[in-house]
Amino acid sequence: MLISCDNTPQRIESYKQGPGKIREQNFTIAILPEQNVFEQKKRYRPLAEYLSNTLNSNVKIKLLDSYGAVDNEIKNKTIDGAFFGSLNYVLEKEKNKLEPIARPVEPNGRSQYRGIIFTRKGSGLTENAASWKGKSIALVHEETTAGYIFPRWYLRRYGIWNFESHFRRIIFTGSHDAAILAVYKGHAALGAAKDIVYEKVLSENPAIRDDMVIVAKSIEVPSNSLCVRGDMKPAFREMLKKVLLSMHTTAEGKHALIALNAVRFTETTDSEFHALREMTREAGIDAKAYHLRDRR
Amino acid sequence: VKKKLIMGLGLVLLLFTVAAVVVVKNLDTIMLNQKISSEQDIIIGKYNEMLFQMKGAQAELYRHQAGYTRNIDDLVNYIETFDENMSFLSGSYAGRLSDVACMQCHEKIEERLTSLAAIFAEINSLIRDYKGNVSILITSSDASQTKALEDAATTRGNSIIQKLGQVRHAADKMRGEIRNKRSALIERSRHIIFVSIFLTITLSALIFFLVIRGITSPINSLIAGIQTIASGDFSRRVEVKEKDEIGFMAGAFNDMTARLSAMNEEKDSLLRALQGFNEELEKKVEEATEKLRLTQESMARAETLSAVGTLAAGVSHEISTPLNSIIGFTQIVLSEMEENNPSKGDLQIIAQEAGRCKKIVQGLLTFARSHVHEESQTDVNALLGETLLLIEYQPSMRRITIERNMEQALNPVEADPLQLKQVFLNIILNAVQAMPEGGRLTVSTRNTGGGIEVSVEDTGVGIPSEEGKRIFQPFYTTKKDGTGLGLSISYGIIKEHEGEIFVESEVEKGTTFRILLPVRGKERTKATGPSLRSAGE
Repeated sequence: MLISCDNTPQRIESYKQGPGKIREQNFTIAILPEQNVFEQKKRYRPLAEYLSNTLNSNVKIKLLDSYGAVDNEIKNKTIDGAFFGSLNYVLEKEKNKLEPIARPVEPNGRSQYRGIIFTRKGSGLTENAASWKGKSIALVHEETTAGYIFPRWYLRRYGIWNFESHFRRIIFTGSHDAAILAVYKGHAALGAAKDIVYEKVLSENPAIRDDMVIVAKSIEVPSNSLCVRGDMKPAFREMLKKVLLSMHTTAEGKHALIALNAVRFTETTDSEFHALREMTREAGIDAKAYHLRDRR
Repeated sequence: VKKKLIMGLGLVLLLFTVAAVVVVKNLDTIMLNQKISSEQDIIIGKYNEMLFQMKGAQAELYRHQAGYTRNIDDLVNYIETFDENMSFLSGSYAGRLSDVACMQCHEKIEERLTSLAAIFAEINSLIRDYKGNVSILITSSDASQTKALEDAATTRGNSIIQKLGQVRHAADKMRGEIRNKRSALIERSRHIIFVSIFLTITLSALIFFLVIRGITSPINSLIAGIQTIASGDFSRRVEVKEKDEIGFMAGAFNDMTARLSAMNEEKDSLLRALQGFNEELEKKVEEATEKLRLTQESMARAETLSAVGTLAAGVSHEISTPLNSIIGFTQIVLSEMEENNPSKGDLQIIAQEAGRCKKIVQGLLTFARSHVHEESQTDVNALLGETLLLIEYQPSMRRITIERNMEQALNPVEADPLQLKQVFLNIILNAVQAMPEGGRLTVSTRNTGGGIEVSVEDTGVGIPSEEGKRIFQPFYTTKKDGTGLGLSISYGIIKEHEGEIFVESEVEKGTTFRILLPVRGKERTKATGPSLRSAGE
């Protein structure tokens, strides 16, 4: 109440978001929590606003808690697209018609990532997966390349076929940074996550860097890409792609890209996922039969 | 005037400024109270909103964890909005601990703010942890981890709701306190505004009245003075004590009036002088005109006399010879005629009339003849005495009183005594003849500026004015046996002496002859004294 000494009702009112334009067409993009869900929402909000303005549609970002939820919403057509992790695209593509559009390019020029397996320094664990026997591992989710498929594929390369029994305990943290922090805090001996998230967490927490070490790296796969339902009108799909690929040329677009920690969007094509499809197959995953499980 | 107007206007402006400041200050107070009241409602509304958001977040979390929804959008939105509101409120409260302005309205503000800041810090800490818990548990598939996080989040959420409830309760209480104060403050402000407006209007009217009176009063005095002076009273002075423009104008007006008064007096003096001068001038013009007229008459008369004289000389010469023959032969016939001759009487008449004709002719000759003019120092008083002696024993003088007013020290004049005596005798005889019933004959002499004046006044029948103009003409006479040459001859003699002769007469009252003579021959030219005097005098 005391702030009223200096703040008028108008000022308080102006703090609220201004009224949006009335648009007929809706376009809902789902995202999944990878890091801090609140930060993630903030990062995607400028993109939604930019697309709303340029596409003259009500572009909405919808947070879902799992790829199972995304799969359901795609089927139910309650969402129009989603930022798919590479594995989820590969898996979903086998079940539903899905078209990749584009993905952000980070300031360092990367639009791809690697899966990494890391441990604490002095844990005695090496790149040899046999040494991991009986240890605990923090994974992200069963539908992530870096946080599930790559470790699974990596163990198979060492002839270890029973992934679950090789570890004393497997923790699914739900997000890449949570997996990294689980290892750092000692909740797990090993962890698997995206290298780009790993670098980000370490840069934000220099103390962690000295305590962590990477023991394995995967091939590069496309970063999270915006994919839309296959039944979407080609014209709108092309327009969406065009807008995304050119948004770095406008001031508003740049603003949205900065929020996403990106410099531009680059086109994503289905062919870029062939290597991952092979890795998935080698990891013993039947993409067609793979059930995108819900959290429960 | 300008100073008064500026002072009056300045005072009124000052009053209005003070009143405006008072009114604005009180309006500000009222508006501030209204604003505070509105903001209180908004802030409390915000607390309610945050309570709703946190309760909503708790419900969404429960629904998600219970598997009712996979959509975490609402959960995130609730927490985000709550967090934004919290950040906004915390940021607004921050830095207000020493705000003096706030202290004026809120008691123990520092204590309250410190307490509030502590609660906010606690809520902020709780919401930070709450967000951390939620961020992990919504994606965690580890049941034990999820359960622990869920419990922690629920506990923290409830704590946030509880603390927020406390804050809202405190805000509600404060709103009640301020509402109570606000009514009294608004009433007091209304009263102050009303009194300020009333005082401003009253004092302004008073100032205007004083200023207008201060301006119009000396102006009215000035107008009254001007009107008085305009009516011709230059003695009036305007009394204005003020030392302003009107006072200066009054002073200048008084100076102007003084000068006008002086000029008016000078004008009157000049007018009087001019009037006198005009009168004198008119008099002189009249005198000159009369003199001119007399001169013209004199000249005409002189010319007439001259012509008559010339004519008479010729005629007399031609007539006198046969007349002498007539008289001689008549005398001879009479001497030889018997006394009883019937014709003797006729002859005697012839002789008598012829003698009379001879006298006329002699008169004419005398008139026309150039006398031998022998001037000498002549005592006019003596001449008059001799003349009066000649007539005073005449029978006709029996009923006439002679009065002599002689100047004892009468200046002698350069003149022909015989001619002058003839003139005096002629005039005195005329006077005697004008008084057949008796009367008074006054003979006077006196010295004048350059000569002497002789006047012969009778109390006889007088001369009518139309006759008076002709009495000096030759042969003009009113007497039965007069020749009409006496006064003509007298006139000629006086003119020969460069003198003047005038007659003044009034019928039945008398006649006065005045003769002016210059003293000396040399001065005759200069001695124009007699000629300066008109014949009418």
